[in-house]
Amino acid sequence: MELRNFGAVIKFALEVEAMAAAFYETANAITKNQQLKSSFETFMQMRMTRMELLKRLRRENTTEMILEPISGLNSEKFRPKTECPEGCPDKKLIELAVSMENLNSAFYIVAAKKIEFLIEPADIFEQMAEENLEYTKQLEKFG
Amino acid sequence: MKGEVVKNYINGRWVESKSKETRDVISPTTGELLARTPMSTAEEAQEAIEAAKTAYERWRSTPAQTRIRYLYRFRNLLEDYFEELSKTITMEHGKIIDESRGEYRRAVENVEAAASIPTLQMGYNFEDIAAGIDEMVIKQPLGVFFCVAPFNFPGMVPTWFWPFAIACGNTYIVKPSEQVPLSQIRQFELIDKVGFPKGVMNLVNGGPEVVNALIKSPDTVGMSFVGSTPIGKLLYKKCGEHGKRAQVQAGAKNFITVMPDANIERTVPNLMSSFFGNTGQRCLSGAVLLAVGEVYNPLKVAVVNAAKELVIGNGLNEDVQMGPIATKAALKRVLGYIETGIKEGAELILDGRNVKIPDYPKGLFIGPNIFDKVTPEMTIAKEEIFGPVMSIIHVKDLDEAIDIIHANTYGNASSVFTSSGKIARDYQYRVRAGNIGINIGIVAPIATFPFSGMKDSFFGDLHGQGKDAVDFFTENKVVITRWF
Repeated sequence: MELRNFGAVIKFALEVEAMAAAFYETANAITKNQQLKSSFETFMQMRMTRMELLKRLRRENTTEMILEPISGLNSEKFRPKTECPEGCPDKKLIELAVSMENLNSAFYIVAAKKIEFLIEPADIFEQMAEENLEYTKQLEKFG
Repeated sequence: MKGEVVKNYINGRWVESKSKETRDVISPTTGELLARTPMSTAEEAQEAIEAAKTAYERWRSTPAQTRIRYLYRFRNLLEDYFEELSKTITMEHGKIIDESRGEYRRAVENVEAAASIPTLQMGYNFEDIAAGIDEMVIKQPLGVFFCVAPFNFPGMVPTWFWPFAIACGNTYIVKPSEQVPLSQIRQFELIDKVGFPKGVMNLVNGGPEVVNALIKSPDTVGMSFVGSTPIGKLLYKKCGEHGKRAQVQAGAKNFITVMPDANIERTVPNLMSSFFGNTGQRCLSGAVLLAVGEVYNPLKVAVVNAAKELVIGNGLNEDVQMGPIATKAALKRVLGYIETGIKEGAELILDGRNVKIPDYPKGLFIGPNIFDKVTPEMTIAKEEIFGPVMSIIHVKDLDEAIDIIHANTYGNASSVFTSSGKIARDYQYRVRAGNIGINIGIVAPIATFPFSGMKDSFFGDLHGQGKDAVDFFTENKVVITRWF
């Protein structure tokens, strides 16, 4: 689906964060590795914090002067696959997480460009993209 | 709330109107009855005036720092209930949710700006105007003010006025639009929660009877109005007859000029927002597109293609870009203007009539409409349509564009799209409109600037928002002192 408004972009970002939080919650329940469990728990909390941040961005940055249509941003390209079946091995969980983080990062990089007329949200999207890559590095250490 | 008669808020409590006459508040999206607005009586307006008058002396003596703490609390409640308030606007007016959020953001900004009153309301003084004699100006509040609010920004427009008015020490009465009272009802629930001293803030629903009572009362001081030019002119005259201050922000016909050197890629999305945002129901909406010289053909193609892409539907859906028109009467009026445009020889190159949104058969939907080959004499080029209709006029140069703009009676806003600093400067210097945009389609002043307007778009001296608001809601008292 094409994201045509700032509100639609934020709505999708909230979906992405909610999916990630749900993924880490499930992964946390599946893994037996205590260190990995702890990381998943941290990542889940981070995603919840980011959801609050996104809601604040939407509340504080929508002004009528800049309500211009956005084009060329399709959400389906950035919708991650986050299903982790029960008993999924740690290696697979990490693979899924890394793939999701990379895709999330790509979304925030592209979306930041599309909303560059909104300085604070664009900057925070870029920051989130960097955070996603940082999470990837942390996850890869478990591999 | 569905179908209920909304209440008035007088002297710190919610009261039912005694009037049996009501007006239905209909969702423009679903067609369902949301509520009913009572056409309150002159006596009820008088009760609000009495409450505000009684509260005034105590409120004006309350230190400004204390007064603004009420505003801080109100501001925080606006943030807490931001999404819900925004949804209320979309529900009763139809505009898309992002536009409602934008509207509330500006409301919050106005409250924040008014909270600067301890600085803004400062007077000034000068020592030794003669030997041993000093002179000063004190900016004093005046009493009971009121606003008559429009339907197109039901959450924001009253905040152009009342936060400044009460921060200065006045007391206030809001008369919301009878078409869309719910946003103000919700705001007043928060005002009630804040716990302002009773009588400082009042709300009276209704129509002309209430407005006439507010104007004629010897106990009110001034009126802020936003609405159409015919009604605005009438009320401005009445205010004059009754010795009231008045700031009347009226209708508009906004001309947007695009020069051949404009960045088309950046300009077109801006034009979409300007002409079709809020379904064209802004007093800052673009109405006539003046395409200068060789930009005419490529611009025409680009705007039609972009307008075709706009998604129309229920404004609560985040993916929708254009909601319905607010009322049946407004839709009928817009359709009438489109018919007139066709009859007068303009070419309808994008026809937004007959748009059907499957899930909302009763919705008052209309798509973007674009007329080509419009001439300045045509009705659609002169009169305020207040709907999603773009009229394109091909002009040879900037001078011709400005002549057309100046021939129109309105002067609310006008924008130019250009990459030339010289043209931009010429435009802001020469064009007689209150709000000028340079590569900006919606020239919406922030809360610390006045919402300007000229010609038939504004009657009065001082505008809403910013320092103008402070001057409107205060009187400069001069004091000259000598001590023996």
